[in-house]
Amino acid sequence: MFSVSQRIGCSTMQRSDADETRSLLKLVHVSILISLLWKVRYFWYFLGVHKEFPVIDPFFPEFFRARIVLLVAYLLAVAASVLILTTIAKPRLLFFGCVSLASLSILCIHQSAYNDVTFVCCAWASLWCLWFSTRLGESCDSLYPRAAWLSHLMLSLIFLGGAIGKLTPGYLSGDVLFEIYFKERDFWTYNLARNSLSEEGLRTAAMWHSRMVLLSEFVCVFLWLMPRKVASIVAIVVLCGIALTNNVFLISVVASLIGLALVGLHERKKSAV
Amino acid sequence: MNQYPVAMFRFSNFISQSFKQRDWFALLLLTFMLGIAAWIVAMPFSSTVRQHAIRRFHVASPSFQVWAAMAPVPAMYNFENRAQFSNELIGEGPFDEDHESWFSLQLNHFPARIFTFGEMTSKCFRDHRQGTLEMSTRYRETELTSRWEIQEQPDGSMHVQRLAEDWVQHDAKK
Repeated sequence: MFSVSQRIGCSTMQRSDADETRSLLKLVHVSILISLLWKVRYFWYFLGVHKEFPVIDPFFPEFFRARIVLLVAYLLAVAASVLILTTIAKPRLLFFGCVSLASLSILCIHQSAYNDVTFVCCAWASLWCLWFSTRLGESCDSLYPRAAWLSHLMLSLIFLGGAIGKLTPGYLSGDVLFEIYFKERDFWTYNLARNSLSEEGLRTAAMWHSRMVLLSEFVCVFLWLMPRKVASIVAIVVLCGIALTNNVFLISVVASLIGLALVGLHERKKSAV
Repeated sequence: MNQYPVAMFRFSNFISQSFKQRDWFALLLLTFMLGIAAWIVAMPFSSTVRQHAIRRFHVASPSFQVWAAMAPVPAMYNFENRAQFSNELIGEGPFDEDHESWFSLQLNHFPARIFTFGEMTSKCFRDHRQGTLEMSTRYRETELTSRWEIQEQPDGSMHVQRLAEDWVQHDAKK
């Protein structure tokens, strides 16, 4: 039998654990929000273009072609993350978590949004959040190591998809990145390269850049095997590097992944009892 | 496990801890992720997986359901993707590269995006609401080329029609 003081202590500890779990959950949802809002201007622009030039691909069911579905799914994904930031009760967190995942999943297979990696990354982060919400109340001592490892495994999987898909001659020779970035892309790194290198030098730079991208992605495939903090730092450095050296619009892609990586850097607060 | 800063958390720890905590969702999620990882790792070795992955990029899977099932598979900057477009309706004939509306470009992923996500849509259909799109995606020795025709309908919408697809197997050494 527990004494009254033990019961009170236990319940205070559980409450403290739940508060910490909620804080971490909210941190990842903030990163999802940053991802979604980073491209809000483009999203509105694309909606306008979609209205002016309504392309109908019969491969997609009508629901997944509709402009209103695209708009509602985007707004619901944003609203769900905002509401999670202000919610305490577990059932509501679970409900908003389901709304977030469902709306992001719709965006992943909608005719006008399927190609956007932002929504795929946000959907993965949202899936992690939904799982994490179900564990509200579990002791942090058992939950956090699993949460950090699962977030690193998720990041490893995302990098694995990128790395394996680039094992093709065009990436090994640098031709693909030369065409997409080095040739014309208006961004400080590529402008600098174009101003200081000859055509042949640019091709060589593209080849080494491409191989470096491959190497860094392959390193990140093994985040799940690395020590917790090392894995998080490596992931954050690589993700920030992707956005800052290629294209700042990529922040919408990497922000939610950085949120997942931050889970591994979280330190337990001192126990309340 | 008495303290959080575990140096290296192991796969087996995750499974045993999840069992202990009756965390079935975590185990389900792990299984789901391992399944996707196996699919990705099989891509360089299995021509079936490779063809499904390339078909996904050309929105040419056997059905929408099959295509949608592949949506969780991360595919950033995968494959070598090219697209060429012209406002001329040329069926399966050759593109006139001197035509004012013709252009060709390399894309990071999902080549059909040039007119589905708005980025290039106005460039494609600004002058004529019709055109021919040819996409090619290569992964290692395997390459798929697909051709679509887009025609304006009386209601102002533009309908996509798939005309042809062609698989090419390249020499592995090239």
